[in-house]
Amino acid sequence: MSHNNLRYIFSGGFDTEYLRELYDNDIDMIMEMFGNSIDTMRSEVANSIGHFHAGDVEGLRRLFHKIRPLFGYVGLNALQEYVLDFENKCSMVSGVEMLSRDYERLVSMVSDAVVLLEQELKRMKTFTNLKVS
Amino acid sequence: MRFTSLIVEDLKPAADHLRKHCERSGIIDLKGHFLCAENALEYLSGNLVDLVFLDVEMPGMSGFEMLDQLVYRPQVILTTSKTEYAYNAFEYKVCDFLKKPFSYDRFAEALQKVEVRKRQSEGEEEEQIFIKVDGKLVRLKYDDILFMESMGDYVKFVTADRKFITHNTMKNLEAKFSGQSFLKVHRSYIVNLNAIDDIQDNMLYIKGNQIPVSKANKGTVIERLHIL
Repeated sequence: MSHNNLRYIFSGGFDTEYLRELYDNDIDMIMEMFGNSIDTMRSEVANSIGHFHAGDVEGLRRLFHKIRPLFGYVGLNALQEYVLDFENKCSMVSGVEMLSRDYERLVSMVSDAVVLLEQELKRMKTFTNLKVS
Repeated sequence: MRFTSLIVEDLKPAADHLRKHCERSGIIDLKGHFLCAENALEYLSGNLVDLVFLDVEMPGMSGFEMLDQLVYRPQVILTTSKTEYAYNAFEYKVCDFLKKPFSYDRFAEALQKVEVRKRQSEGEEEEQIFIKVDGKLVRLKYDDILFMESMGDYVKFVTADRKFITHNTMKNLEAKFSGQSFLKVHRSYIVNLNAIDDIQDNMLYIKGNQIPVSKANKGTVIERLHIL
């Protein structure tokens, strides 16, 4: 069932107007994108550990470059800047040891974002279920 | 106007979002989604599409490297998160550059550019043809084709330096090339009138190739040639 045009208000931290515009106010689509983004963030962060321990800086850069737009798709736009900053650092350093602190901080931020997204997805599901019933 | 299209994108949520835009547009006939450029290239070597939505950085080959290897150039909309690729996009003459994520309105604007460019290029496209040879699409300019010879269910295209055999019929080709500088001179031959070197009795000669002219077609051949 479509929930188009429902006036769901996102929690603080999410850009409500931006998300409404991006998905034409289609909350079903937003929920789908949140779900897919959570899965992708989780799996790619897990993959990043291998690149980090293998000292593969270019692999790390490419991986975070790949997931950067996800933060845009879920309305956490400010996080894109942090990821971009990390990508740029990857291009400048000669070894992964120079990235340790930035990498740990980034993984922690992505993990926090996943928690935030899960909570928001749960809120949206509750909201749409209430509307249906 | 409708467009057969392909998505080449390694980020699944981005591809899903793009697919929804395509469905909503009502003018995109989506033929597939590939997670890497290598697989897309393989598909495109045997299939024609009008439009490719192309990411740049993917595992393995990049989107630009894929474009370098294509035997024909469909219209391309780049979908990337890196604005630094805008210069390359310009160099590769892509139709538009969409920074992920993008709204439907921005997507629709890009499609309008594709439509405009397609209209502009329609005249040029009529001067060439793609034929399927050994699972690949090969481009032939009309001017380069000397003649076509029927071989049962197959047809041989002959150019000055190469021969290509493709699964097709003379009947199809006769229809396809009607109105061009080509003429069926025999049940087994369609020739490029501009390539004929000379004619003698019921034979015509093109770059050393001897081609029979049937009695039924000889009158038409004479009519189409500029004889003083």
